[in-house]
This record gives sequence, C-alpha cells and structure tokens, in this order.
Amino acid sequence: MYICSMYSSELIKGTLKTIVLNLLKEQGRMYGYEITQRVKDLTNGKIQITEGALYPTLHSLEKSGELETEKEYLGKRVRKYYTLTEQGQTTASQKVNELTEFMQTMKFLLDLDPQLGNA
Amino acid sequence: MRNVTDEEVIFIDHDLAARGIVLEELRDNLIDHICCIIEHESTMEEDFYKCYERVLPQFFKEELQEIQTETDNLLQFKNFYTMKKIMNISGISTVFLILVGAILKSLHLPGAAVTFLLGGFTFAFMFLPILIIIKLKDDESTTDKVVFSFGLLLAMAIAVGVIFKIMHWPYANMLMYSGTIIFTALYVPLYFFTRIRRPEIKFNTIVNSVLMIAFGGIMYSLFDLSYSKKYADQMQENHYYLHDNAMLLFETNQSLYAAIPASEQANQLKSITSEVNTNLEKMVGTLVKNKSTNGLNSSVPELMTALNQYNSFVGTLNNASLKSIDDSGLKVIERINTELAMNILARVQQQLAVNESVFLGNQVIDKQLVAN
Repeated sequence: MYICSMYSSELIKGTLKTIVLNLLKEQGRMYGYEITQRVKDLTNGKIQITEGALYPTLHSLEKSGELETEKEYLGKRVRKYYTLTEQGQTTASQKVNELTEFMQTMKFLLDLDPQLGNA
Repeated sequence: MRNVTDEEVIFIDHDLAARGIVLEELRDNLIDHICCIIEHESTMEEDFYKCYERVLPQFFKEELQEIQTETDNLLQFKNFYTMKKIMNISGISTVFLILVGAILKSLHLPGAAVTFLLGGFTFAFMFLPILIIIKLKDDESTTDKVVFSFGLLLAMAIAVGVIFKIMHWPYANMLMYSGTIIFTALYVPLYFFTRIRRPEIKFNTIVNSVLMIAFGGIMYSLFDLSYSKKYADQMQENHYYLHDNAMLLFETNQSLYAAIPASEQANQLKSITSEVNTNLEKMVGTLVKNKSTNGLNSSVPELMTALNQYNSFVGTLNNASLKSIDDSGLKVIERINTELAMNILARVQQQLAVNESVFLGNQVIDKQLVAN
C-alpha cells in the first residue's frame, strides 16, 4: 500500500512525506500524477510511489498546513496543484535534515562509512 | 495521445463513489490521476472501459476503499496529536489553577473562587472529556474502553459536584454522593474483575483498585462530615435555654401590661412584638419538623418585613435601652445548619422579650414616680 519499489516498503515507509515535501520544494507546483512520475524518473524506477499512499499523505499534509492547493478545471476534471506553504518550506528542510542525520547515524551504526567506522 | 471525455470522467466519478471514495477532494485527485494514466499509458485503440478496469487495481491491494480509510486515518491521526497537546495544556492549567486557588483560599485573598472554578471546569470539561476520546481511540479492547470511559464520566460528576459545593450551588451533594457511591460500589469492582485475569496487569489492577477504594471511602467520609453529636446537642440545649427564658419574660411582660396605664405606644409594642414572635415560632416549628433549613424559603421574607416594622417602631420610642434587632443572621439562615439557625432565632426572640420588658419596666417606674 505504501511505496512500491525495489526496496522493502518497511525500509522507506517513513520517508514518503520527506520525498513529497522536498520534491515540491524543488519543483514548486505539482499535481499527483506528476509527483509519482517525477519520483519514478529521478530514481530510475527504483522507487515508485503508489496512489494509495500518495493521496492520503497529500491530504494529511494539506490539513496540517504544510501544503496549499490550487484547482484547475479541465472540462469535468479537476486537477489539484500542490505547493508548499511557508510552514511547509520549513518542515521540508527539517525533514531532509532529519533524514540526512539519520542516514549518517545508520552508516556509522552499520559500519558502512570507512571514514567513520572500522571497515 | 488519447483524451478522456467528459462522459468518461462522469463514469469514473460515479464508479469511485460506488466503490467507497466519499471524500470529494480525494475523488477529484483520483479521477485526474486515472485520466492521466489512461491518456499517457494506453493506446488509442484500447477500449476505455477495459483500460479503466486494467488501471484501477494498481490503486489498491484488496479494495479501493483502502485509500479512503488510509486518508481518514491520517487526518484523524493529526487531530489525535492536537488533542493530546490540548489535553496536556489543560492538565497543566488545571494543576496550576487549583494550586493557586487553594493558596488564595487558605490565605483568604480575593480571586480564590474564580481561580478554583476555572481550574475545576478545565479539569471536568476539557481534560477529562479529551482523555475519554483519546482512551477510546487508544485502547484496543472494547471492554477497557467502556470501563475506562465510565470511570472518567464518574470522575467528571464528582469534580463538578466538588465545584458546586465550593460555590454553594444546588445539587452539589447529589452529584458528589451519587458519583462517589457509583464509583466505589460499581466502577471499582468492574475495573477489578475485567482486568484481574490478565497476568501482565494483575499487580497494577490490585494496587489501583485498593487506591480507588481508599479514595472513594475518604471522599465519602469527607462529604458526610458535619458537626459532632456532642456539638449539636449543646447547640440544641442552648436554644432551649434561650427560648425558655424568653418565654418566661413574655409571661412576666403580660402581667406588666396590666400594671401600667393604657397607652397607644404600649398597645402598638404589644401587637408588633406578638406578630414578630408568631413568625419566629412558626419558623422554629418548621425547623423542628423538617430538621433542615430548606423549608424556610417562604417564612424568611415575612419575618424580615415584620422585623423592619418592629425596628422602625422601636426607633420612634426614643428609648436608648431598647435595641434594634440585628437581622443579618436571618439573611443567611437558609445556608446554615439547623442548630445554628435555631440559635439565631432564639437570640432574636430573646432580644424581643428583653426590649418589651425594658419598655414595660420603664413605664412601671414612671408610674410609681408620678404616684410618689
């Protein structure tokens, strides 16, 4: 249900918000399908966000004030473009910093970095 | 690239709604997403409906409603954290307000009642209700949810009862008594028997049950605290002593009326004293009958009116030895206990008899002086 990829869903379960927020920080304005395609392209298909995970997350981020939306009508279709709010900009930076720090710690913990560990 | 027509969009909209996507905003997202996939990832030759049937399963594992449920959960999860934050803030505010209220109350400083009241209301109407909601979401077992919520509702009733008691508002005793009795006699056994068989929480269950029984017992005995029997007996004895003396004086006064020359003032005093005394005796009768000050509502205004007339009349007599009767005790008579109320009435009665006696005594002396 969460993220379909070559990695186990448990491994990257907690990173979806960070991915979406950071992508919007870089791209500015995006709609749902565009987000899934962009992630797929950037990771060469290694990470594919499923719709079942993306939309609940987008709604939750919108409700908490991280994102704002803009509607565009294409005939009977409604396309919702998502952009970061000021609060969202801050959260995006915080989330990226948090994840970076986490990855550094994991590297150290698992002895993956020759400069930090014994490997 | 193919284009999804408006009719096809309407079809998708209806189908998604039928599959349980009730949130319109979410449905709009999904419609656009499905349309994008169909437009970008299908050929012009492929039938729309077949293509739709092929694309849709990638949105879920078992059924489409999963997205709706997941969205609901995430949105509620957000509220959950906000509620926890509010609960923490209201908890801290309750502790602060009640502590400050207690300090102000013990030092007899102004603002104690307001602070207490705010603290109590924050506890009963913010902290406890949010705690119930959080517990309802948190606990996995339905029995635990029901039992815990029941306990918190009783805690609310007791807390409101205590606030009412401090503020001297009606129904305080009813709330406190019923809350405490139900809590101790029903909730604690319920809590104990629904948890005792679970080994992992057995010890906590025993400790908590003992603490709650102790709390209930202490609360009950505190609610029931009144004056001791010995004190009540002394107060009653005091009342009868004052009452008997007053009666003795009234009897003597009747003889004195015959010994003085008839006058308008004497007649008026006799009549107004008798009126006030009748009202007093009526109230004493009610107190003895009801053993409570609750039934005095109708009698107090009558007595106050008669007393006002009496005090005005006494003022016109220009006799420094006659004292106006203080009615401040009567104003609060409905809020005090029976024994104290009877003493206040006896004091008024005694002053009434003494005033009459002084007036008549003076008249007798004047008469003798004139005769000599």
